[in-house]
Amino acid sequence: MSDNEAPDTPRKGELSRRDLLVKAGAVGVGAIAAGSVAGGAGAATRRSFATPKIRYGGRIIWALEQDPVHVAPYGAILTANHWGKQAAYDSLVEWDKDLNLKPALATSWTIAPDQKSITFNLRKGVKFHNGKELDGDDVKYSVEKMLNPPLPGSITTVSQVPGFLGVDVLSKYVVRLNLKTRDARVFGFLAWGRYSPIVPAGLYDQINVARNAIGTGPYRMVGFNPNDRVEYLANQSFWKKGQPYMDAMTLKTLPDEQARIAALRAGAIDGATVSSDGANALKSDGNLVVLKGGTAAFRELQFTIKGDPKPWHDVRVRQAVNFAINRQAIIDTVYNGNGNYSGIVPPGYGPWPLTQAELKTKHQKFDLTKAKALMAAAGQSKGFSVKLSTFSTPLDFQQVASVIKSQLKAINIDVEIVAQEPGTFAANNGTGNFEWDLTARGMRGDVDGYLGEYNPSNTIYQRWYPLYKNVKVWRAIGNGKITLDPAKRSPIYKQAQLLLQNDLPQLGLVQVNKYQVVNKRVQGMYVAFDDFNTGLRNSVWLSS
Amino acid sequence: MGGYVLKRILVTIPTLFGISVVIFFMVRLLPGDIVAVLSGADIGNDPELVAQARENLGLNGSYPEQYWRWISGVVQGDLGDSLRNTQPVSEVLLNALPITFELVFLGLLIAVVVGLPLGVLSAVKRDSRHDYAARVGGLIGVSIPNFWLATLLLLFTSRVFGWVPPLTYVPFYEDPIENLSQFILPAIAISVFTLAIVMRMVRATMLEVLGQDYVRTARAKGVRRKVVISRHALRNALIPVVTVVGFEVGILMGGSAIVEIIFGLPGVGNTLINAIFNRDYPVVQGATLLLAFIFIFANLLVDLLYGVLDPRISQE
Amino acid sequence: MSDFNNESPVLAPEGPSEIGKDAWVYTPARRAGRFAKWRNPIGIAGAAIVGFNVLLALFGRFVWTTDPNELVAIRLQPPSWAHPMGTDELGRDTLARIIHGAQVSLQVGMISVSIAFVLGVTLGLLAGFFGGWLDSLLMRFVDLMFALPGLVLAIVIAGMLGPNRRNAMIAIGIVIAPAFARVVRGAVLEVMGFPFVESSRALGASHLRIIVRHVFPNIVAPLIVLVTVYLSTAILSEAALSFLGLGTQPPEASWGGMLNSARSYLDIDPWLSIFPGLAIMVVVLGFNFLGDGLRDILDPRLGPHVAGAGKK
Repeated sequence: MSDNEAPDTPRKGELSRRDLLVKAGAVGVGAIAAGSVAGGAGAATRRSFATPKIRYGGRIIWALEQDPVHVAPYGAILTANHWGKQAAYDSLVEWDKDLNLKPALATSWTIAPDQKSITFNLRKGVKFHNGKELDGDDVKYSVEKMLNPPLPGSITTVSQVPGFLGVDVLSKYVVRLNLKTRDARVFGFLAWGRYSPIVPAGLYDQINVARNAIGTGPYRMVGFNPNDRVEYLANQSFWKKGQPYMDAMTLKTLPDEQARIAALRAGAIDGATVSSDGANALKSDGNLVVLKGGTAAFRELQFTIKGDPKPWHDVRVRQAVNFAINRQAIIDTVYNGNGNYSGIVPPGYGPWPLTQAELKTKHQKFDLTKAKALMAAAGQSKGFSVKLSTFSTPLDFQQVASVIKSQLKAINIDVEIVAQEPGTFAANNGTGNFEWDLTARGMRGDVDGYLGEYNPSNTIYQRWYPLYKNVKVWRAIGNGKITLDPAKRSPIYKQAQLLLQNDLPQLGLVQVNKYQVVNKRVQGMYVAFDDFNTGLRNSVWLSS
Repeated sequence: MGGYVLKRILVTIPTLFGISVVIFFMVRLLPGDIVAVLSGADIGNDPELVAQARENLGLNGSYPEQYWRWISGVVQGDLGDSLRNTQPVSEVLLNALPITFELVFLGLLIAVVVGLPLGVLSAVKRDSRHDYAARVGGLIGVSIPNFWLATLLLLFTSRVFGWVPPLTYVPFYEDPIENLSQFILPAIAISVFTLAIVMRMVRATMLEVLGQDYVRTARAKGVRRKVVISRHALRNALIPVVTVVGFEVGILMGGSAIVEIIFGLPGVGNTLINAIFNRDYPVVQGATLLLAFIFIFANLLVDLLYGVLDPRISQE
Repeated sequence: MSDFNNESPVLAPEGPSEIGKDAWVYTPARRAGRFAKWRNPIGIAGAAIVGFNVLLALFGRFVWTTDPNELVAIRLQPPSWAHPMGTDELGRDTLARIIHGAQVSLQVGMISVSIAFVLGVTLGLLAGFFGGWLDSLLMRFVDLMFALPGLVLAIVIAGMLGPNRRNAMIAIGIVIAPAFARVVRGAVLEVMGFPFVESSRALGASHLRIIVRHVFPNIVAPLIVLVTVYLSTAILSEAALSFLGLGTQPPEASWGGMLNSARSYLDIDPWLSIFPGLAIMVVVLGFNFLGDGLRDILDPRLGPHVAGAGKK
């Protein structure tokens, strides 16, 4: 059973939304902070009774399980890029640990009455690592690059950017961000930070952005060696007084988990992400502390609904699959009993997802009888065979697929597992060249990121399920995207999720825990919901 | 002699060109490309953006066009840039080469230093227990999968000695001890196969030599056994050893890839395999050319050495 | 790893049989008796191992009936009476998977070597027989294949065709074929130089007749040895490809694939790494022993020259 706090999000979420509305009221007329705020804790947080006095100094060595490849600020698709560059850059706004919106390089903002532009007031006196002061020109340059990232960035990330048109510099510290249309996703996108760091104007001409960074963040990058490490030193003139806590940070690339485990044991590194089996093996080590938390990376079964008629084009078959899969068994067998049920919006993503209670008792309840009845109603009692494609690494994808395969035997579905190397899988996935897919989703800046793909104008829709039609869903998604008021937005998305949980063009499975193991001298680290190592830059200090 | 060398070198050029063509086209036949790899499973993509991304990376145009662009760069010394992080391929390879080179060097060193004496011993004590043990050992040596051996070595040292090799590559000139402790296990893993071969070759050649007339004559004349072994037999035994080593250099530069992966050494093989999975075409092409070049070069050297060591051959 | 050691100097001879126990004393063969050659413990051991492996592959699953793909027990168990080789990371019985792996290895070995045999012998015959530009072209091509790192070539071919066992066999077959081509070509050239062959041709004997009557007998011995050697290479290569995720696809059991999965659990359950590797080693050893023994019987003088040793 999971002792992750994520299932109880609604309470926390409501609290933070209220906080936010209060803040919004303080900002001014029509200035309701965009509804893309996700409140609620993803990570398990424990209150300590006495806050220990923070000790400054020291160098932390953290191991990354994937090489950042490059640390360019824009156009990077890999999460690992942000792991590498995160400590050096800030965005206009940021999330706190619970994904609440907070000012960062912008201290306040006003949303225009027509909601097609936002005026930001920049924080004064912020210095980039090269000494230059932050002003409007830098923001303008940054947004231009967001919309057209040069190499090594990929222009495909522009699809992640909400419809920005550009930035007008109104004065040294005031800028106006112009939008194509009303868009509730803006603040989430900016707070996520991954695609929206603020860099000094002209950065791409000044340094090799693939290997270096100049930002405003708490640590300044000394250099990045591919397949080796990223080196950071403290930024003494960081705009948050009293930070950073440490002198230096080294992010070492160690893709092999056994190497990370060995290094943790030996004290050669101070922390790293490990698998649940790895965490299990390390939990008895007295020098190490195991941290865990949920992230947005839930596992999902994807169907293609297109072309020649297939048994699962009938919604009852998909529903049967849903009820025939015992998610708790997957959690127990593959993930050592740690994990949550997940719909298409992962648990812990603010107030948006359906609750665990709802999922477990109703929408995703394991019910073989019901499944069989549904198959019979659809005329599929004899069953059928289907190919399920998934990643060949990491291994848990195949493990989950194996469990599903054995579970679906009970309703006579013969699953053939096709494990593909990531390149092939990605190619097929992108073009919709698969029958069923087992994959993982990831973080989004805004909840629309999980639902937009059911919209007929979206490429995924066209490639995967062009035969799926539900006008109510489409309307809900369209409305949700332009409703900035979170109070009004929430019911729209709840309704959309309920509809989609019934139609099941994609089937949410489980949300897995992420485990990070740290040396006991590391204080203030937590498993961040957005899958970054945000603690390292914001809250971590070393007790020895 | 000089003419022979020149001729051999000239012959390698069309081979290298052929390889460049083969690898260029074959790697593009792999499903998906780097844009798909990077953006694939989780981000929905606008076909226009994807097309633009491909163009930015130089993946547009027909294959012959792309090939021409690439190969004209190569003959001028420009191997292109990695599609993944824009690092120049020559830089990527220059970083990776010393690692693989050191690994192969150490592995072959172990193989010869251990294999040669064992082979001699085995030949001199033919059909004794030592000989049988060595023969069986040799056969076992060529049967162990080196990636399994690597895993076993790691298991052994960590369980029994509580020791794991260091994680970060440190060049030899910076810190020899750290460097060697990182390389010792992988070097052992790759040495075993060559060791076994060297041992068997030395044994066989020595047996052949020892049975020949001039050796018996020397013996009959009263020349001491040790002298006969070292002066006559060994020198001849070196020839196949040189052949094997030269040959293995070429093979191991690429063949040590899996061991590199297991020990986290970013050598050429490791880089190449990752590049294949990432569909990073320029790196795949550049690294393959490099490995082929080394293989051909090593064989050429061996041929030349052959001529030097065995006077009978250079006379032909 | 010389998995793709197309020029396997493994074919090092054990030495002329004329030399007896003491290398210093010349002992003629006839003293050792006519059947001395057959008293070959290593070869017999090899045959026994290979035979056992074949039996295991064919009938093992009737003796140990646990399904290799069923999740039958708790994960990551060490060996026990119920599961003599323990259970793997999903809770499947390792012994059952090892037995299935035997089937896979043998199949891959035989089919890839057959492909290599057919391709290589054809190429070699064509090159040797017709000579001229065809020979040059084909041998250039073979040189090219040798210079391309074998593992890389196999990965690319397997990746191109789609990673599965069938394509792995094709890939391995293609990579090994050049060695067969070289040997066959060499033998053909040798034969073509024999005086009686020349006179046969002068008398109007057809190509086919010459091939059958003269070439074949000359190449049978080295081909048999090559086949046994490359059977073990093929098995090792399949393991390497599966290790990289490109051969036999999970959840089907293959020794290489099992070794790959085991890597993630090295710290937690070392048993997973031991059995598949051991199995590979034993089978490969068996073929190597057998090859050794066969070579001793067929012609002890078969030396590195057989495989062409990389030269013209």
